Amino acid sequence: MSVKLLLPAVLAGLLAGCGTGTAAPQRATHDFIITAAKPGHLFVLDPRTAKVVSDFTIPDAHNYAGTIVPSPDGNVAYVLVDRATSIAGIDLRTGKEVFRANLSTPGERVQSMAFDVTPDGKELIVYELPTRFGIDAYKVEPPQFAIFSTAGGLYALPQRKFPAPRRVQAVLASKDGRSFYAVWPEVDHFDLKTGRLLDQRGLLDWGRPNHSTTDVSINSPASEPTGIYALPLYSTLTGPGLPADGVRATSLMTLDLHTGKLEYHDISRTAPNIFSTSISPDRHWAFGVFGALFKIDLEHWSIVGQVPVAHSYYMVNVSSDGRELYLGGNMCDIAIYDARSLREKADIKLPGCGDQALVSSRVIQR
Amino acid sequence: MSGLKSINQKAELLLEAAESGHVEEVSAMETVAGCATTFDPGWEVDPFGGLASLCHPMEADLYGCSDPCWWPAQVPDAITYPSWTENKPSAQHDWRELDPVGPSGDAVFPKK
Repeated sequence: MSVKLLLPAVLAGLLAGCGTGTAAPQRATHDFIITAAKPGHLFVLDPRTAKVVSDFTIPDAHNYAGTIVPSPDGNVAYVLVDRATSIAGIDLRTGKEVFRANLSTPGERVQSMAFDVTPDGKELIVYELPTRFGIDAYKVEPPQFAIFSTAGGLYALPQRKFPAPRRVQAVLASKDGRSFYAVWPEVDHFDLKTGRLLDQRGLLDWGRPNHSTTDVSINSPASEPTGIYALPLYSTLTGPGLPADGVRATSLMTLDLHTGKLEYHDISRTAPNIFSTSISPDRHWAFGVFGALFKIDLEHWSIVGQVPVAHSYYMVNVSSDGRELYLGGNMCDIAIYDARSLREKADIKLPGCGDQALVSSRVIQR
Repeated sequence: MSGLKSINQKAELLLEAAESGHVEEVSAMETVAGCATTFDPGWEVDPFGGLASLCHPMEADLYGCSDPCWWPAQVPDAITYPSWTENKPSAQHDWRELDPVGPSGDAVFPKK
């Protein structure tokens, strides 16, 4: 593994004292952005200086990096690599690989797009799609949840497995540490120990009067900094006074991972496309991005701001203080925007300009 | 379905099935993670019949479709064509090096 610390002194200073367990005075924490790009780089960015502070090479990424899940303490990034068949855990201070779960076994390819880590950082919840390969045919096997211990090392094996529904696009660990959610085509709530289905609420068929079934593309697993997962939804709205074919409506789903509270609110008609959304720490605003950057008022549930962006982005993250927005997920830059004015403040270019290719950039605090 | 026009046999079957209540029988079966089973518009037109809601530029979306197998009919997906983007990490810089592909997985116009 090659490790390039571009600003080693800065990073070392920020990390001093982390995880020592001593009575040293608490240092102020700061946000860092983590993202990944082809052919297999993991980057740590400092938004205060608008610089890339670490550029790590993920072993055997094989030109693929997708979902990123940071450990709750911000020390490890778990990254889906190798064409969605493997999860690598990379120490964000050293770049060393500290965890590896190769999901496939001989004769069976297993892919994933959705996983999360438990709030105590001890387990990964992985949605798996196995395919059995025969001599002249392959068989699609039932999907499953596999639970890995993050202490499993470089040859981690699942601790337990549960049956899972098809078409799940996001796995979200509940903040109670005892359960998790699987999103799409329902919002399913599972017990973490037993895999028992605790609750099921509609998402495709959400049961809202005058609304069609939903159209959703789930692209972000991020719920920081609030612990509330926000998802844009699309439907056709029909009813008195509306055209016979209805009008297109954009709605926002919010799922509070602390309480399980699930809400749907319409935010726009004749809607723009929004790829992903995140909520500000004061919970007054949501921000969405795709071909433009959108600011959504969560009191009145309406889009109150919209600015064009240099190119379409897949991901929007909100800083922990709510003052900045980080746009990324594709091409080779992370754009920093002011959350109040929606003005661009900086644009961080990733070394080598590898494509982020639907990577879920995340924000950690250290 | 009233706003959609079928352009291939699969789509025609889907329209017929919708009328008779048998949509599930013709819906594509999920076989690999990420492969799109939707009938959304692709890069050609956005949901409003225009261009404004498409990714811009198209290179911003190219590898984001190829890697997770989104719109595999339009984009060589990374499962069927795992080496398509090999040594071409930047869509915006390397797009001239990306070859058309054929059913065998080989480049249609291999470089000499």
